[in-house]
Amino acid sequence: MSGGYIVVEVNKCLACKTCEIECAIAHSEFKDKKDAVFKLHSLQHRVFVEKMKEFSIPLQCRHCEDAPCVKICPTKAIEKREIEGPVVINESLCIGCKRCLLICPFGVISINHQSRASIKCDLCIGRLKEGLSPACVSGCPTKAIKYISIDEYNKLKRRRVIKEYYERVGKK
Amino acid sequence: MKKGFVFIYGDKCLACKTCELSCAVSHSNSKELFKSINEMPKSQYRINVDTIGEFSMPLNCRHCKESPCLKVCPTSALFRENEDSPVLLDPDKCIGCKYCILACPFGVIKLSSSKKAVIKCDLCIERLKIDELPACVSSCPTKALKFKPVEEITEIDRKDSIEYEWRIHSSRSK
Repeated sequence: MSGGYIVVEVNKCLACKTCEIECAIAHSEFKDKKDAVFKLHSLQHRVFVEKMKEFSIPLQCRHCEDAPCVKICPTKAIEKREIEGPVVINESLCIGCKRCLLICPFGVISINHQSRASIKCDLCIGRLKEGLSPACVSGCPTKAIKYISIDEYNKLKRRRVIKEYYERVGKK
Repeated sequence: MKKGFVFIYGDKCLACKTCELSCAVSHSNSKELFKSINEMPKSQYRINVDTIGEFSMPLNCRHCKESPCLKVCPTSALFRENEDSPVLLDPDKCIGCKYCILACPFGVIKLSSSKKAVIKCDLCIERLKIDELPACVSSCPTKALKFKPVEEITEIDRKDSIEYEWRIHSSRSK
């Protein structure tokens, strides 16, 4: 399980909300989509597709390195175990005080309808251990969401910049 | 204090990575090569040399005027002291949400291995204050990196283009 995080290419998102459905099913007890589809109203997704004018973007937990939610949690229910690893909520420790909801700058923490504990994206930690990519990533039909390590992502960008530079300037 | 920005002449770059080394040394605690090797946590470099086939080029923060990283930062950890100042980072304010890494078109913001924050080029602001050039610029053996104010660099470019035109003109008239 290598470190990575979720990268969004805004111009590719169609706001189809497939990621929301995939996320809700991945975090439910139903593993089969056919069973889950009739109970969709009771399931909760942890990724939110927001639309603004012509732009849409799926938002989920940024898994901050120095996360405000980890700092403010009074029962230490939220923890980050490693650099470039996910921030995870231990639902049994959570008392539902909603302080994490208030302090999160991205508004991606919600409340579990049944247990009243806070829930949020856990980077599909179970799927990562099995060697799969997170549910929203594998479900996206336009590949707008990608799971990639930071170094890899930066390298791709830099290589594109260098390529464009030499295409314009040319090697003397 | 010296004023200017780092200009990259990619065609002069040999990909020797001296700039990466001197960047890491100048951002270490001791500022000396041999002492910084044994430092824990290890010093990280903020300039990256990448190679595609025969082409190579160092890339560091461009200190954009309309910085995308500055716009998306939710805690205002990225800031500018004034109009001409480089884009700087306050590591105490940074929560490490990596939004700036997403927004940066050049891929030059990295995650710090010691602090829970990101790191980026600060144009060696401490060296500038004592009238020294940024570490990468002063160490580059082929002068592929130049530190100049924008006005001076355009003057050099204009002179270069005149010289180029002249060469074409004189070869035609022969």
